[in-house]
Amino acid sequence: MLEHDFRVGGMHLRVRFAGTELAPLLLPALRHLQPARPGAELATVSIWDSDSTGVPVPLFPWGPQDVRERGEIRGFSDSRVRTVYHGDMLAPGFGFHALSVCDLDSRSAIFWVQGRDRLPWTELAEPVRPALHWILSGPSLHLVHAAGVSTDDGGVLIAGKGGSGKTTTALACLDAGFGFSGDNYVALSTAGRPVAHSLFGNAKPRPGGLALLPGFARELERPDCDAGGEERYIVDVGRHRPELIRHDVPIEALLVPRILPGGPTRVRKGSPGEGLLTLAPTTIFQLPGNGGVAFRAMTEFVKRVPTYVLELGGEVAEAPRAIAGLLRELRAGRRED
Amino acid sequence: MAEPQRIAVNPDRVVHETIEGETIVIHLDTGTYYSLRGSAAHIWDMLEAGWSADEVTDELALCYETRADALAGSVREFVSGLVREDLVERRNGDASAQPRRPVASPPDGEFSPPKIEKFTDMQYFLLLDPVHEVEATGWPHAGASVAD
Repeated sequence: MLEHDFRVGGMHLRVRFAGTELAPLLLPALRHLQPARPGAELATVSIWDSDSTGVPVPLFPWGPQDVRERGEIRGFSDSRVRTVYHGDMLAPGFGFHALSVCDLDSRSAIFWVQGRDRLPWTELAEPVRPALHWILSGPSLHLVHAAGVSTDDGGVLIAGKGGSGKTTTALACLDAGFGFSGDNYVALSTAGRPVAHSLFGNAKPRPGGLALLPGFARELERPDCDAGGEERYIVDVGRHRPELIRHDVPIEALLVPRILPGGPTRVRKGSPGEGLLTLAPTTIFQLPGNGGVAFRAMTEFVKRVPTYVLELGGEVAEAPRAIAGLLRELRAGRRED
Repeated sequence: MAEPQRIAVNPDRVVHETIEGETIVIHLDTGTYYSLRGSAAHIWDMLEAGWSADEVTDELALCYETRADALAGSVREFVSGLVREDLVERRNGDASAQPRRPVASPPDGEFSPPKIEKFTDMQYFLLLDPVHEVEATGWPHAGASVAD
């Protein structure tokens, strides 16, 4: 049994592995996290695979007809227990063929997968994401679908669905020396001043984004992956640029990127509704769980933090300049919109 | 006399919030989300606060100094749209049994028919997988598979 202890916000995250095959594949995304602090509330995920340990998963007490949206198992998901099957029922051997089960009361989860060869690239980039979402989330801590970047003047969340420019903008900021908390998910504290906490220490650019930022080509994990198809590249920021990892960043603004080719890159004031419309649906529908609680948290967030639209039209390097300018003005109280 | 038509939002399936005159509505079961602005947000707030469709129409007529019968069709069509999208359920009820709550002032300007702006790009996250054949010993020990 291998155990690793990390800090995510105010939580103590313990990741336990039975066997030695999965840790080298799943830990890199979390390796950048700081050690856990004494006395913090504990959240545990226990991980095993059958191929290397020889320990099979018990026969499921449900059938394929009980697998609902996002893999949630009818009859085995309620306010305390969450059960999600990860698989493709049309694929030979069911594809990914893995299971996440969580007890919200004890903040403990189990993740099982048939074998290491079943892990899709998404699991290497954002391991056991549903389980982490369940065990870490609480009244004032929520995983949100957003990138987090920062300067000495504070941080921004960049919200938007896939293809909106979120990851490319985060990488452009990283390239410009910004602090980096995540490109796709961060843990957001909403008690008091909103703070973004890093969870996964990597970025996942598409080939188009990498072409705009070729400096990252030397920092790719799995450079031969099928990034032109369904996969993406993985840039291990925690390994290649550890000095830029930021674990806890006060958030000054929510940015909603809009790609407008040919126009200037600039930041203009948006509405809280625009921010909520961008942040909430992708978070709620990509993370199975209590959508109502998550929605309430994001609603309170957009009421407290201003929303700005980041219009992306020029060179990619203009985005970090625009964001840095916004943060400077907000810090100095000079923003009049 | 027909009982006033009111609506109710099912909080287990639908979440919503009105901020600065825009209402965001998310249907948790279908993956669809909506933006209501202007008169749509104002009417939603009244309906959700317990106002009947007729009371909404009368209030709009006062706000915009227009005849109620000129607005009734827009309100009815909007309510029907909300029902069609499964965002609300119709409830018959006696006005005295369900006191309505006050709502914010209407948006400035002339009345524009309310519109429901709908977004379906998140629906694919909720698509069901087809049932797959497994052997008698049970799943996950799958036998010869037969695709649907």
